[in-house]
Amino acid sequence: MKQIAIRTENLSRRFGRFPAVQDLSLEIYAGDIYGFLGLNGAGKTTTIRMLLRLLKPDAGKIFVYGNDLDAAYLEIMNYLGGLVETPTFYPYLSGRENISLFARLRMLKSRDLINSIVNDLLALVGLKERADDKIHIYSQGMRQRLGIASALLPCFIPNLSKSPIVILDEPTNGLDPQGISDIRNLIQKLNQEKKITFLISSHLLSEMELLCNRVGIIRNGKLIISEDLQTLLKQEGVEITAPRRHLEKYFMGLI
Amino acid sequence: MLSRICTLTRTELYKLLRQRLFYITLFLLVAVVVLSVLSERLFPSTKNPINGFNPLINGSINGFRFSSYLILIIGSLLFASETTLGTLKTIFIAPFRRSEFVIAKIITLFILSVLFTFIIELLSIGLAFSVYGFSDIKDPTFVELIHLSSSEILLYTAYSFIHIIVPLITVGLMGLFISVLVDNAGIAVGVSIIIYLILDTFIAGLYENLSSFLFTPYLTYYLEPIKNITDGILEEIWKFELINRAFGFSKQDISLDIARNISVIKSFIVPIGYSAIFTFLSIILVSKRPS
Repeated sequence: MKQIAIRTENLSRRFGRFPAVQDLSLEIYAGDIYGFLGLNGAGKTTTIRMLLRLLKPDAGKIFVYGNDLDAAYLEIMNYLGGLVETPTFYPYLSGRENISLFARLRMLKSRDLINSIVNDLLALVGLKERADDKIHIYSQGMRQRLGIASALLPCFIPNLSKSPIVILDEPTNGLDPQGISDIRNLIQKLNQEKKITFLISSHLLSEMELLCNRVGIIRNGKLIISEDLQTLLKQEGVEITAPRRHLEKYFMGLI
Repeated sequence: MLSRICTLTRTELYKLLRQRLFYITLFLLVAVVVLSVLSERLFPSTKNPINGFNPLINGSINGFRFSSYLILIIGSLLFASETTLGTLKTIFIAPFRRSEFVIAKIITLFILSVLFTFIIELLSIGLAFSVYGFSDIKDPTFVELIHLSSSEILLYTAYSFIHIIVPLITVGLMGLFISVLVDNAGIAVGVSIIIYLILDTFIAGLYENLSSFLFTPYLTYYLEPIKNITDGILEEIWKFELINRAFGFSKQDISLDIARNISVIKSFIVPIGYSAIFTFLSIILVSKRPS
């Protein structure tokens, strides 16, 4: 039986009279790449903010590897990484300095270890060449890559008690096709090699289809389905063929 | 918990040291103190001979008044700039309690207050001594009776500087509290300065009875007696006032002694009380706020 990485029980949150999330009960298994889909305003970001404890739920509980997020917050946040909406950094610091600062906040003491992790992360997200540039001259795509690097920090911390979970809200926002492809490959690689669990929200359904093994669809704050992707498509009678990536291949061939 | 707060404080100081604002602040502070101390030399008054204690105290009072605005602005920016930049949501994902994050910011304000105090102290004493020299202060009429040695005044001045750290931090904490309430960094600075001006200039200035219950007058509370002495307003009472304010005892009659001891206690209790309130409210608000 698969281990449950994240479980929510009747999670609810209102903004004034508007119910952003209602009775959301969700299960994400360890090792999943879980696609969290929904229209604008459906409640994806609110749910993600609650999962990262940036927002307190009005009702309901969140469990990470069976531990109550409220009770075991300090321990859980060690292996939880996240990116919410547009990533933001200190503009007077370089990309490397920003990631180093966030690495220090993960209680890494050794300077050598921090440098090695930061170098690995920057190389993984394709920012090694521009790592020492100040953030204020970064393009939106570069900031997005750096945001993903900061979310992936727990994946590189040695001796964690649990396998890391990374929550990414619209990670491909502002990325060019090359960037989207790079990030997709990176997520798949980390998932396969390091058994990292991912929860990803996105509007790009074709991307989600290429990336995820399970999906949940949220509408008006309610989770209407949470299922294995292949099973879901079979249920709907969709003919499953190899994903069509002709234009992407042609584009990559040209650049 | 302690190691988490230390880590957070180190990152706060790192961020501060990497900003141009910090160096501009230091430059302005040094400029204000130097100009205030040297003003006697640049624009000579009728005092003859000049005793270094007068420029020293003028430089210190101007320096502390100015540094209170600097600490206020830095305090206002400490939290609101994170909100404006949007970096809070990245920081809050790290394994820390939000209260620890606020405490780290408060420790940063404390370190800055100590740094500013030492800069003002060393600069004003060093400059005043090297340019003017220090000499004893004697009342021309009662030379035997009223005689303050330069070491006595220096000791008291050093004590005053240490005491000033307390209300200086309180001013910074007020800025921090306002920056927790106001999301925009520019508005937070503006609101803080307006509130500080209202407290310091209008309320403390117009309502003398109320002023002892505010924290702003205590910024120069211990320096004022020396200013009066060095300005030539030398009365016997000031000697006791000096000792009394510094060490909490007096050779005066008991009722006066009690009254003065109360004001000594008040000069600590009032700013510390405000600091506790600002700290408590800031922690509560940051813990509850959505990101």
